[in-house]
Amino acid sequence: MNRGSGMVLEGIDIRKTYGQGDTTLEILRGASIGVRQGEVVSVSGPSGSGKSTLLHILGILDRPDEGSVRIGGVDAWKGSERARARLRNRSLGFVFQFHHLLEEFTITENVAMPLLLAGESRRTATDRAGELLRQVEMDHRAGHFPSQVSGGERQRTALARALIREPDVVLADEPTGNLDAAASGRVEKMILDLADMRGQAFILATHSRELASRAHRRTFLRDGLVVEEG
Amino acid sequence: MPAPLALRVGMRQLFSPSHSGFIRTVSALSVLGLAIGVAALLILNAFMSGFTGSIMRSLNRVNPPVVVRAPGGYALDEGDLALVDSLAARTAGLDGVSPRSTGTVILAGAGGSVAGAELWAVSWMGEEGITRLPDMMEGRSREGVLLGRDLAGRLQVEEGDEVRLASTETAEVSGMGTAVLDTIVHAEVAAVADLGIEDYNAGVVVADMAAGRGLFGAGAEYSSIGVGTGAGTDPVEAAAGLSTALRSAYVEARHPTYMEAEAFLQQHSNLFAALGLERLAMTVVLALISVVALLNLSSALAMVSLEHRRDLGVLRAMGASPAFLLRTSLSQGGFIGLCGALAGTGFAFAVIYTVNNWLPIRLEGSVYWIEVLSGRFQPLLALALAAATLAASMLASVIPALSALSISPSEAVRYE
Repeated sequence: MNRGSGMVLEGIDIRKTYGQGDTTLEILRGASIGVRQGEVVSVSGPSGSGKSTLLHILGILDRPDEGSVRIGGVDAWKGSERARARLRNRSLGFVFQFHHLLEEFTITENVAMPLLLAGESRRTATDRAGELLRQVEMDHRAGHFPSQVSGGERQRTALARALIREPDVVLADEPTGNLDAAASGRVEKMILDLADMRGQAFILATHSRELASRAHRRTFLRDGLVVEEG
Repeated sequence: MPAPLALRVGMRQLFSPSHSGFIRTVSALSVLGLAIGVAALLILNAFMSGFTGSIMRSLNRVNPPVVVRAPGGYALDEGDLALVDSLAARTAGLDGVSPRSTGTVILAGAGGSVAGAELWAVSWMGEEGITRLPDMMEGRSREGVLLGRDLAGRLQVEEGDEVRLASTETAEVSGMGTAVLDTIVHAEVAAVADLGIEDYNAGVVVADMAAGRGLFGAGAEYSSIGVGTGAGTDPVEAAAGLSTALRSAYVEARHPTYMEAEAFLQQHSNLFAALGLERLAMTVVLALISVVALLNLSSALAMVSLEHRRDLGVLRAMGASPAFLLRTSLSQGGFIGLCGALAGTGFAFAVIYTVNNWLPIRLEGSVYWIEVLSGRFQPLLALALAAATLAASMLASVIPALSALSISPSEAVRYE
């Protein structure tokens, strides 16, 4: 953790431009954002404003043209690809809009996967996955495949998967964007409970005013910059 | 011990029942392609080596492994035989000598059938342990003659019948232009045997040396001296050693006859070289099947990685390293390669076993020398092919893996 800023994850002056031929599109123009332990930060903005791009850059899935991403105070792009893979595994959790579960693996195996990638034994990973599935009320679906469960259940599974390594921060891209009101409500409650009870940090990219309104800190992406709201 | 995670992920991506059958189908087709390639190479080599081996074994059954002759076709005598015997005894790997006289004869059966043949006058005692000819005469009078199977058929004679042999070596042409054959020998057919190859079965008669001498009107002269070899001896090397000793005896010890030793099969070296070249050419052509199968495997794995493009991004988001994803792809290629190699080897073994035991391939003996083609399954070749297929399959999986890794995880997780 960066003791100076207190941020577990920080993106500083991030610029990102996409180009094809002579056409270029500057998505981020010096965006800065950070999150502290136990804090829920929302990032809102219209479609195409760069919310997903910002989350991917913060999650070191994409490299910024300029600026830096600091995880626990360390510049994530200074190390090797192997080191970044370890950082993603150890310090970051991802929840995607369309859950992105691995279709060939059961619910339990999906949740256990980050631990298995970290080299944990199958038994340890499965036991831990079982505990998390109980917490997100998915233990009754443990042996099912993703195609056999509902959208809300998949998203709760994705949340459990993101949490299994007890990461510094969970990056959630429209976590309720594809769910009905009831399922959205359950997922939102889980995120906020986790932040309160476990001190889990979240950055949520969302269209949902309701979810954004319940975040500890609300930001808005405007003209490629992150602007604090409220 | 549980399988490594990369292998488990790779196998799930190929064979999981949770996704459509498309991936399973292309994987199965890749296995099939490799199996056909491996089987084709094994079957080709089995029958080519079986064919060559059958001819070699047939020739070796009735001919000594090493033959000593005087260049120019000069006859050899008892002194030459004694020299070869003493030198062979001192040359490593050589074991026993046996002289032969050969010449052309005309045979007539009791019913008036006549056929030309080559007479091999042998020392039955000397042939013991050098060729299998004495075995064919086991329990029979060695004063009689041994006829090739087809020759006996043409003469319409069986064991116990009498044949007359006339040598053309001693033929004279009268003033009227008529051939006068002054030496005719009556002999009992002691044995009718399969002499291995069509040429021998149709045109060889084997008799005791004394009968041969009587027929050819010759003294104690031999056409050649056969030399036996011990188990595991390379006849070519042994013949070379004996030749050196014979040259030395001629040059330094002033032995009157210059003789050379040669491995019998070397006399047919052109045939075996041609068969070897044919096998090589066929192997290269059939290896192209494996090349095509490997290209098919590579494209199948590219499809697998395209189908799982988003999953690759998700795995990287969870902390999978590029090396892990490369291992996943290698495990897929390796598994398909191994299945292809095992299936191909099993199929080839089944084909060879079936042909050898239940569905023999008949050949025209006058053309191919042998009448039944048998296959020889080669375990070492199968092992080498399996290893090569496994390695090549893993290599073929590297290209799609690198292609998949060139996509950024961000792009991959956006993929729908």
